[in-house]
Amino acid sequence: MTSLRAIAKADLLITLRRGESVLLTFLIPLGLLFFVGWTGILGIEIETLVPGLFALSIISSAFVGLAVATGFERKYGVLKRLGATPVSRLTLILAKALSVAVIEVLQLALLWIVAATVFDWAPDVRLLGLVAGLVLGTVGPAGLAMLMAGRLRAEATLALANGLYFVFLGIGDVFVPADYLSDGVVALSNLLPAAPLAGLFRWATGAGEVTASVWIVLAVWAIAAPLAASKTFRWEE
Amino acid sequence: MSAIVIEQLEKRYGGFTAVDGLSLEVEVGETYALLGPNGAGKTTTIEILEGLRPRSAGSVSVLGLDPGTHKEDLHRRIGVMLQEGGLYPGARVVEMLELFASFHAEPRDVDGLLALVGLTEHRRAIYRKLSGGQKQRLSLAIALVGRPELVFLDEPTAGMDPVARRTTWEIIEALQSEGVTMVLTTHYMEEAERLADRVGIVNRGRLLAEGTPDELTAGGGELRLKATAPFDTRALGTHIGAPVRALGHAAAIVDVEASPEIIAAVAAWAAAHAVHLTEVRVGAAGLEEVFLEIAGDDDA
Repeated sequence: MTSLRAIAKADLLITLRRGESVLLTFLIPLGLLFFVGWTGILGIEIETLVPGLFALSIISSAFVGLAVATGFERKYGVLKRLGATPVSRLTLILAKALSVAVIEVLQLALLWIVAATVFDWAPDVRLLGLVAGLVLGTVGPAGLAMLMAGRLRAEATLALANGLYFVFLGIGDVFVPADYLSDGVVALSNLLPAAPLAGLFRWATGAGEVTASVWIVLAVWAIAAPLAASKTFRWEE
Repeated sequence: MSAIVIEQLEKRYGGFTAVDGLSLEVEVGETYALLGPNGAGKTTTIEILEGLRPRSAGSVSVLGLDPGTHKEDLHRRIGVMLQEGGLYPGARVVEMLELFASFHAEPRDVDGLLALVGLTEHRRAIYRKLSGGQKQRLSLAIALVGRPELVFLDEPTAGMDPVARRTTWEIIEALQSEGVTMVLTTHYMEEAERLADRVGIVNRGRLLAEGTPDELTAGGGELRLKATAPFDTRALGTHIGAPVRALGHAAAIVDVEASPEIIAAVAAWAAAHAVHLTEVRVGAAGLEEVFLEIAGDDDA
């Protein structure tokens, strides 16, 4: 337990110390909340916007942050060195999960407080939906992060993960309504984790209905991505 | 009692054989140095012993445990210093030490360790900003934090300046006096001669020679020659009536008890054949010469 807490704490400290990580996880979602919230650009309501930003935030931590950190830990031999300690791989994975979960809760709390106080956001909360969003939004994207970080060079993981962040930002139903995108893009987007996750959070905050395809897509990601990662992950670059 | 027993260890990567039938034992309390050129299989061997790499064949016992199957038990009792890296670039020195201390039931005192390796004033420094030698010393401190019975040091002083190197040697000698068993790899002959109870010379994944530094360097009274250019060792041998072995580039050993007559005969032959000798020495090889002699002077 002490090892788990110690690794999670070190991981958190280092994550919060990385400028680009704070930019993607906190500043961009918060900046979008203010910008879109104040301008009302594209006719987006605050009720639609906030759950979209929840989805973006979760993905920025569970996918981008995790992929980049793990890729570089692998490159610098941190994972190898931890492999020569009494810490088990399971403990290491749980510590990472704990660190990601803490960041996610901070992200959602920050967005929630700002949205409620500045924009009078008063969601109709389905607690089960929020928990499902946190879990499904974390497991699948984290698996994808490990899939990339466990095989690609750290620099390639960095570029690809950041690139995908902006893809999700643009077509992930985060704040750009589907009407502005072509049918093909929407169809593709609905198969990636971001758009279904945004849909799930909208349902969880009373801003829409959830479809079966949302659950199916997120569940498939949550099973397939970690499974693929566990088969292909290499502890050393 | 043996801390480590390796029998017929093999490690293959595809078609490449990194370790090729290596056998050796390390006694409890002993310091054993693996000496060899780059790519000799030193790091691969050490990482198999540390449980970081699976072996292809052979048997290995470390503190009575198989590192392939009893990793956690083993890792509670050993200290590991990797050849490079292994720490979070964005973490502070003291954070790393405290993190690794948390993995052990009775860790050493973090402040005491920082003082021991001379990093007290760098305790808040970010790892990325440390010099190479400082990184190595932190890595050494982390290897020691769990009060290990057995420590693996893979090139512990690589990249250190002479002062830091001596400090590190003193730390290692203090551990020796506490009875800690150590396996280290090094390129520095001086390091192996000073620290090791026994030295194993490896090349191409094989153990070529093994012994105490004294045993390995006891050359008897043989005659060692160096010249400005390669020369015909066979012709020299015929002339003086004694076996002459070529040793690297433009050097040779005359394998008989050196006598004034032999030295005179060598000098006469050299003068007659325009061979300019730069060194004629009797016996007492350094470990470096022994190493070159055994492993060859190419980085194969």
